[in-house]
Amino acid sequence: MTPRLLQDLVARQAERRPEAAALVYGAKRLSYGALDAAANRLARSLVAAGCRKGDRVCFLYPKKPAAMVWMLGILKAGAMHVPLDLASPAERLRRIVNSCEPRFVLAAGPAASVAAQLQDLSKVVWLEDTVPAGLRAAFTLKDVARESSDPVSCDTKAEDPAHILFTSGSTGIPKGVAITHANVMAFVDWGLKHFGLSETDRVSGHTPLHFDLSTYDIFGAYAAGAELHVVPLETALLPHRLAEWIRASRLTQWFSVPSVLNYIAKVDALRFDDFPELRRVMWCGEVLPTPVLIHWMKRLPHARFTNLYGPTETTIASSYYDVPACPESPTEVIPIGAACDGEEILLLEKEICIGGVGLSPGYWRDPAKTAAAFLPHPHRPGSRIYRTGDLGRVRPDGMVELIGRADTQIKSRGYRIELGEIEAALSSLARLRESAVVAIPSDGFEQWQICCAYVGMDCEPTPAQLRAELARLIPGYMMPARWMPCEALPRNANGKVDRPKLKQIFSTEKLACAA
Amino acid sequence: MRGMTTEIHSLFAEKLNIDVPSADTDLIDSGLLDSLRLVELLLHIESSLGCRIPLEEIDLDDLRSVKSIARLIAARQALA
Repeated sequence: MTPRLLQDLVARQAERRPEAAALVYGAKRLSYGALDAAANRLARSLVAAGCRKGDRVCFLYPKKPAAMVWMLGILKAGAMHVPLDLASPAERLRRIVNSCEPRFVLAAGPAASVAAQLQDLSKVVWLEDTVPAGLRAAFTLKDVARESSDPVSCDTKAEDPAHILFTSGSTGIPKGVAITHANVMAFVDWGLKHFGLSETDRVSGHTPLHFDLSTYDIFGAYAAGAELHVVPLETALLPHRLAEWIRASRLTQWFSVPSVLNYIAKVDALRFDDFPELRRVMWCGEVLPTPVLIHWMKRLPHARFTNLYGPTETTIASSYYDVPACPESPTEVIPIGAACDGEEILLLEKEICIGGVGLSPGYWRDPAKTAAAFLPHPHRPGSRIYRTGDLGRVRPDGMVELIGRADTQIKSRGYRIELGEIEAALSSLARLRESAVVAIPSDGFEQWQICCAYVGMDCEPTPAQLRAELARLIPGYMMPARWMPCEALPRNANGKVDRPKLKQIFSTEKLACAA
Repeated sequence: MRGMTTEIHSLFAEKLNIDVPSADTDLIDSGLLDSLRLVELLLHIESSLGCRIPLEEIDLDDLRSVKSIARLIAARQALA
């Protein structure tokens, strides 16, 4: 039987090769058989506690094998999983939980205090034996352990959502992107073929579970029956340790992100001809600076490098570019390439639009936003396209290149940031009369520097006060790095905030207004 | 030591916008400290406390909690 649902990929490996390692985390190995059985137990507990097809189940846990078991158990129960970022402020998590109305929030270990702040909105399942003080749990790991490991029947269809991922929204409310089993399966099928993934591969994923990129390293590995080497949290902190870990794990395929490739290159943790078994390095999420790519390609001449491109709304990635040879000049632009199988890249008045098999059904319970971003296909009645907001052009050889953004969204540390979300949060602060946020290019670890110009109420607020208040509303990666008090914001002839002028002020007065 | 713990705690809050629940919270296991935040933290420790800690010389256990970071800095300052 050809698997149609994501959980079927694991069940198939558990049947064929139950002893083969599915997950490797430090010294721990979890076989396909054990992974499947543990997820079946959790699915049974969830169903017994009232979980039904189409329910949402949030989970709060770092990317460790336990989280993979939970993710699979939720799918097996017929529900959608919603991964939450533990480092997000509680207020933002509450907005997400409010929006998706989950049947349960699953949590354990370091998530105790965050889970306690969400328990008035949703029932909590505590996946350890002992519930911490202050938390009420619908059930615990002890209850799960008593369940049978036989498969649960579920009538999920390939067109049903498997997960909802929340990304920055310009109005201040995070948007939930629903992604179906069929969406992920289509990319996994292409990835297996294009990257030649097989059961002899050792693959790694670096991205946290609330990034959609992680769905490829996880389900791509399961589809191939490969070993998924999960980067231990502490290893990811130090570039030299990470390089050592890649050597020791003998990775064959590495799905990375530009910030990590950049980090390792900047501290020069890479040897020449390092990682001899690594055949492929791919990245997605943001632009990898060409000098960093040259650094990597010179040190790993045996590996192939692939740039993947695509927003969450079109699932993992929609286009690819296999870099044919090490770029000769650090100013060379690396294209986003051509459409993956089943995908379509169109340029409509320079804006990159995507059609095809990866297209999400839309934003969770937000038909207005869905209608604004997902349009009827211009040439194919009945089909849709997604407007990315990215601007591009087609090179003479047919490859597409990115040239900028149509709006004020930026990318930092792989996160999409709508500057409007920061402005919306600022507008709720009582100390401010008005404010505007712009981003200027930076040459540090992050590609952009977020800058805020503000007009205070009568009592002059300090940047430290504003940062402290804002930190309760938005995650750290969105926090402005520079603050500039003004008498009034500069405006253009139409009375709108003059953003080009603000960018110019921040770019030229680098030192004067650094907070 | 207590003073340094408070200083590190406020570095997290004011410079990194991370509200660490307690001085013993496991920063790594909770996902509060990732690689980029670590780089930022080291830069702030250098600029605010005048203590330079090269990445290559760090032992992971020194980064476990606000308390252990404070201990690391106090030890380095005592040697300087």
